[in-house]
Amino acid sequence: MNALKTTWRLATVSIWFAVSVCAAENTEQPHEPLSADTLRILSNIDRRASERTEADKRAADSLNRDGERAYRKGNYRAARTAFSNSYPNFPTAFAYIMTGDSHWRAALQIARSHAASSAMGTNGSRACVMSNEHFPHDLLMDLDQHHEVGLALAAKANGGKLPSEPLVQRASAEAACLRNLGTRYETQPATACVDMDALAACLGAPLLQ
Amino acid sequence: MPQGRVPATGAIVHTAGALGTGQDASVQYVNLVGTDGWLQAQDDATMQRIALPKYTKVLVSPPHLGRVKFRVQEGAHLGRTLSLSEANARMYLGSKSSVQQPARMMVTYGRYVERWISEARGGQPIDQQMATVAINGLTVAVTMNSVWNGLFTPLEPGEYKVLLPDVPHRGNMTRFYRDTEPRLQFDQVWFPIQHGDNSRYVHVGNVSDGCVTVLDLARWADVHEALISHRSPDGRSVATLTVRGTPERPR
Repeated sequence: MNALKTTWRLATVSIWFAVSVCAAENTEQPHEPLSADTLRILSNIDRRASERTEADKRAADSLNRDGERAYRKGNYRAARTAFSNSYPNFPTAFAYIMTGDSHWRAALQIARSHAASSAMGTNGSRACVMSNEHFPHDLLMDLDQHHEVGLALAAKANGGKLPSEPLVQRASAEAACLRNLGTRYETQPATACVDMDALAACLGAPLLQ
Repeated sequence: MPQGRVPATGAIVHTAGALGTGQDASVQYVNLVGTDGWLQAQDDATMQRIALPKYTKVLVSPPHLGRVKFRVQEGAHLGRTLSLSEANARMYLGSKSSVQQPARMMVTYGRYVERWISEARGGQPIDQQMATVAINGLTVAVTMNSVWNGLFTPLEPGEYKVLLPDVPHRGNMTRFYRDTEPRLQFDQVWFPIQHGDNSRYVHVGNVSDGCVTVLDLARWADVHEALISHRSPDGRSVATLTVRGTPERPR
């Protein structure tokens, strides 16, 4: 138990002070301390670890495979549904990271599809497809419960250091960029229109090719 | 038992005839289901296992060689001939029928609650558009949407049919709720709501993709019974769903 706690603290500390590079702006910035939501979820995962069974793992694996299939086809909404039902069965860094990533790719995909089909305004501009009313709250809370949990689990499994796997590194950069974006929009009025190009730049190319 | 004469020989033969037309066939209903909410019966022609929801009407033939054959009279497997062992037929089929009118299900929109914590999903904070469902004297809390940013939206106010469930929904999507509520059962019964591509459901869980999602895991069995025990005259739906009020967060 003590060893587990030590490993866990190492992972937390490591994540806290990890330096991530924002894909969109290419600026270095320190990672934020883990939020109360992230810490609560990680604590629950630890607490229930001994109760997990092989059947739980099989259920999660099956949903991850469904998620991967949907993701590779560009059906991000279906991918999100599958990944997000995987981790309650058996929590993995992969399912948490892919849930967060799929969510915002789906949001972008749907917003762009609406933008493409919406009529031009009289001044030649298109209607706003995503307002700022809920965006910063949604984005920051989602990062805390998905990307950050996934990254912390990945670090924990790697002795407290974020693994060098491309998917994890990409997800870490994506999370930092998205957090910047969310924080920036927190200072904007609710009526502001979210810049979909900025969201797209944070996400970059799909994590699974 | 029906009888006839073979034209070529003139011999008189006895035959059960086509299943369900024999005089000994009796109307029965699926009166007991597994904890997933379904009765598994066998299609003898394909050896496939076919799942039937509770109160499915069937026309049952007398037992033969330890098995009981029956023809499904409603639902996704209408007209299909299935069988059960004699012992299982005695246990799972019975005389209690569904009420031959749709149940009335009333949803009234309530507050939009940010950061609703789901213990069953490991302490996940969820932004819920809450509502209350009233059905058959029961009142339970539901969420009408939990996944935002254009992915899903709450159901618009109006009147909808709640359809008879067709197949067991994947257990992987709800099995983990039993860890926090061991009394949860029938969680693989998802009732489609007739709207668009019918991908919205009345179901149990903590996350709604624009569905009517019953949050009180322990009371799902009661909601399930209130719905599944009813049939519309055409046998296709189980309830009329009325959605009233306005979601505080519409998208």
